[in-house]
Amino acid sequence: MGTHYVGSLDAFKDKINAQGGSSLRYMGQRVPNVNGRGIVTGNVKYTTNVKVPGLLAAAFKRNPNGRAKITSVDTSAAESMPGVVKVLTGKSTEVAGKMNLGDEPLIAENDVTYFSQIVAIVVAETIEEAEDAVDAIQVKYEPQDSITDVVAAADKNPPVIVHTPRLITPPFEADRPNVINCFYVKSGDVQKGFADADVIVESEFDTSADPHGYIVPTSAVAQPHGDGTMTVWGDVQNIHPVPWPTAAGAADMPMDKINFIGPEICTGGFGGKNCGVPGVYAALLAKVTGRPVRVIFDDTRLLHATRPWCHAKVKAGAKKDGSFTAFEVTFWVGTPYVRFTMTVMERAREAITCTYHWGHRDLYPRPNVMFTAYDTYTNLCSTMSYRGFGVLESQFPHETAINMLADKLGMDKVAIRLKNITKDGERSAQNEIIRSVGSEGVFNKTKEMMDSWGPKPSVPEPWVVGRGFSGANKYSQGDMVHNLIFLKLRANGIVDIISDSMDIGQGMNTVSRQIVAEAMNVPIENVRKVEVNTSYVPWTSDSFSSSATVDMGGAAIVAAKNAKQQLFDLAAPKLGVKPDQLETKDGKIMVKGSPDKAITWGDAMTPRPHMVISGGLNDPVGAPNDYDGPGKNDYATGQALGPYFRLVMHMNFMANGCEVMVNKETGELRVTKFIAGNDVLPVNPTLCEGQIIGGGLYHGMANGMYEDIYIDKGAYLSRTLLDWKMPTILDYPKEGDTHSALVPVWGEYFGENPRIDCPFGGKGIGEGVDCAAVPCLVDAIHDATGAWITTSPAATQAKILKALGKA
Amino acid sequence: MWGLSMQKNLGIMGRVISCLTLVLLALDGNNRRNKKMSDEKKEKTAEKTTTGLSRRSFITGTVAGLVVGAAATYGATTLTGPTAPAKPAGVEPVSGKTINLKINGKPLSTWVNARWTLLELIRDTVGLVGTPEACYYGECGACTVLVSGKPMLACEIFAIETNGWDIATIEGLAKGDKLHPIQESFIKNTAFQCGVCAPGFIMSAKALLDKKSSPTEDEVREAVSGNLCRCGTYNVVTRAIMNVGK
Repeated sequence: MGTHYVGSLDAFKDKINAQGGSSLRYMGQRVPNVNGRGIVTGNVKYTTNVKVPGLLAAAFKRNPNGRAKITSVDTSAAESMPGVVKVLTGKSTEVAGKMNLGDEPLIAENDVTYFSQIVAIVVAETIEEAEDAVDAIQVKYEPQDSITDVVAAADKNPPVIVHTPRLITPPFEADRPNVINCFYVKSGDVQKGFADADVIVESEFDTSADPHGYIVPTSAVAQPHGDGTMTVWGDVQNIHPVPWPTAAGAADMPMDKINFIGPEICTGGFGGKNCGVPGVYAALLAKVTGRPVRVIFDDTRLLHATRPWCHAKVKAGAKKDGSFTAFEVTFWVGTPYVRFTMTVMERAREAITCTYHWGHRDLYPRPNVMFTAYDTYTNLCSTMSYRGFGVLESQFPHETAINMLADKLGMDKVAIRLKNITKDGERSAQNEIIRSVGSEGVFNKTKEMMDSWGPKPSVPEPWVVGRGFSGANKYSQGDMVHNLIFLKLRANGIVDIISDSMDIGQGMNTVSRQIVAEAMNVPIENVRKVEVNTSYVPWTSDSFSSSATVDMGGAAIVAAKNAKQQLFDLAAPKLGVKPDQLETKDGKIMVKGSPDKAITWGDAMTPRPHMVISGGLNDPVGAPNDYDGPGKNDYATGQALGPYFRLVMHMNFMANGCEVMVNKETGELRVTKFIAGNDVLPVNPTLCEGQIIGGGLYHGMANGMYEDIYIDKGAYLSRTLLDWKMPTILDYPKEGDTHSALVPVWGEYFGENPRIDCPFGGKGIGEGVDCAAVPCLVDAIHDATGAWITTSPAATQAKILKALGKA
Repeated sequence: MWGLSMQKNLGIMGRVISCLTLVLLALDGNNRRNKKMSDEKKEKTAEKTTTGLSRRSFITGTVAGLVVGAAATYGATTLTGPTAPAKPAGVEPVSGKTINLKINGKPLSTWVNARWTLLELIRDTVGLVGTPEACYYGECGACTVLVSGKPMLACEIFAIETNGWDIATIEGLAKGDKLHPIQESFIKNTAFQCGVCAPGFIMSAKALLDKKSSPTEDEVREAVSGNLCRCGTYNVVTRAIMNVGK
């Protein structure tokens, strides 16, 4: 069995109890996943299992080219085919002019911008009839030049202007016709930093447009009720922020006429199910036909959206002793429509500027950092968030540049990092105070565990062995404004959690019960969680950005505090004491120090059968939410116009180490040992290890080694799991060769004052490990072969052979 | 190889190319995830390839007014499914036939549309939704069921082929409230995250353990190598299968 280190939480017990905890009764415990029995018996309420009577099926006609003009769409044959209920094109009055997710037409009308864009939809009685009718739709295209080079697309005179007229005109760099937005950090004096440097490395990196690879396609069912209301079930990671309003928008209905219901567990999202796009079409089609409609994107499971393609140009400098002097980076990302790419580059800033001081504190008053990012229209496939907006794209070049510096200087990879690490309370290159910095502990623990591997094994020629190391940080972008939870306390001591916090496999159904059980001091069996919907469930947290535990937990501990106060206020006169003399355990309220002097929750709340208590970080008066608000950061320099605090963000720090074998003749690569560390107080170590080994290392290895995308004139050639290969169990290191380290550090939001604790000290986990894996693998390949690979995925046989000069 | 994407919209050719690809990849040994494909499965795949059968093209008739979700009664001693729909005036009759098979030991007699896969029969007609509707193209292994004890992919088999077959699904493992030891071990080792691939892993594991009660780690990995998990639970899946009954 692999080594799975978990640091002690004892030192944090008092702080946890001060937030209303119950002395680690459930916090930090390996509670079994509450959905376990449902999962192994096939009884989970996944969205794909939703069926309602009279359900229609939808099928989509999609663009097989890159960029093209649509010269004609002939639906006449399709419309008269058996079972067909409705055929929609971009010219249909029901969709004309409607946009989704900002600037993307619901159905393309005159032009298609990217491969697989929807050009027509058929709704029919059965899926077979819908597919037959889609086959009968004749679309004529006039293919045009596509632009897939993100750097050329951002030029002032690009070979192709993707949208005419331009859909969004940025406030800066308006003379670059494809550029949607730009982000900058300008800190210190980069030129001086490079002039002072003893060594400088320069390189360019590509992170390709990797799909999320979820096995189950994203799906939805919409059912109109004939009275102006509609229910939509969607396989989504969140219901409130995007899926609900976009479904309402597509159906031309007020949001409050739609009840959007999430699954018991989302079938793997990885960022790709943040938007719930099928729900948009299901709602539209149900409204148009007046009947329930099922939409499943099974023909675009991989290419319904991808991580945006990113190119990075990097320059980094250091003194002989390893002190960093300056860092300069330019990013280009490409997308056919806006979607989320703006956020990608916005978040890349934190990843670049928070782990290390680029401009050692002994040498410079401020870090020397120049960061420029162009978010650019291209004819690449549609884009979506994927396990760390902009973090893999930025950590890969960033951490690899550090390994290149260490290599040039002959320094240890961990030592050079520890020398330059940002310390708790220091200001980043964006002039923000960084708190809850666990990088030193995580780096050291990971190195210690790697050292226990002993010397490298000897392997027969032409195999060679290498070991790699990488650090990383990952912001967690939470939400304090929409942060409300209801706890329904029953007379018999049961607590129902009424919250939209979605389980997407990370274990939120278990974690939320643990946090509430810890805060209310009740057996976890007495805590339950209701269906996630927009009808009566408040907006608590969004399952993205590794932030749900902190957001949900923040609301839960406030609600639990309110609940206990109300119970004590009711019980105090009945027990003849003051409320502050009371405590609660297992559904009873007792006088502190006199456990026999007790009544039950039921006794306290009688004659009520239950009480609903609300709580949240915005309750009762509303929390300040300064997240990147206007005037908070100077746009041209990225500098905080302090003092202000970012209530919505905390930072996670992680490290990866690996050992690989490379065949110098064939380019084959095997990962033989893999380890990841994360700085976190685990609510549930078992679930955290699952995030680290699975969503972290597995995804990192998949992204870093296997998932090449091939594009021909804008048309994607890698379309299914057969030609886009994710690693199987045989490709993954054996059970005993995957290791993890959970190094506890108390979680805090970063920014200015006041200091704000994360709930029970918890932080995000998982995504950052994914992002550290690619530079770690690249470092190991270099260690083995002497070749630096600067593309992700990095380690396909062809790329290794090329790097070795053999292809 | 790329011709198989947009499979559904490519009609018969998409399906044929898809099947061809499966066979070629299985034969050239590059695609490890198809290794576990039994010889039987390969034959069936090849048969589909050569005969060019596809869900879409096999029958060109229509399913007039048929509610796919019409559920057979499951749980009774004998299962009864939908009967052939009456021929509506002016519309060609649906092509299909009545088949007899066993699902989880219970006999089922049902009419099936010739375009349905076994997966659709199990999920939509019988109502056993524990076998996931996942990739649908034989790529991921999530819909693995046991046919006379051998693991096969329900999405790659036409329902109409299964006359006389003996099929086991995830719902058939537990005896009342008592879980099968493999299921117990998956819970104990948290061998899942979102859980959608777990039924397929468990069925593949059962096929292995029924043949060999104490397999090596390599044998376990080989046996489930046709099952993909994007949450990356492979190490705990191995641990769970190695520790069944312990």
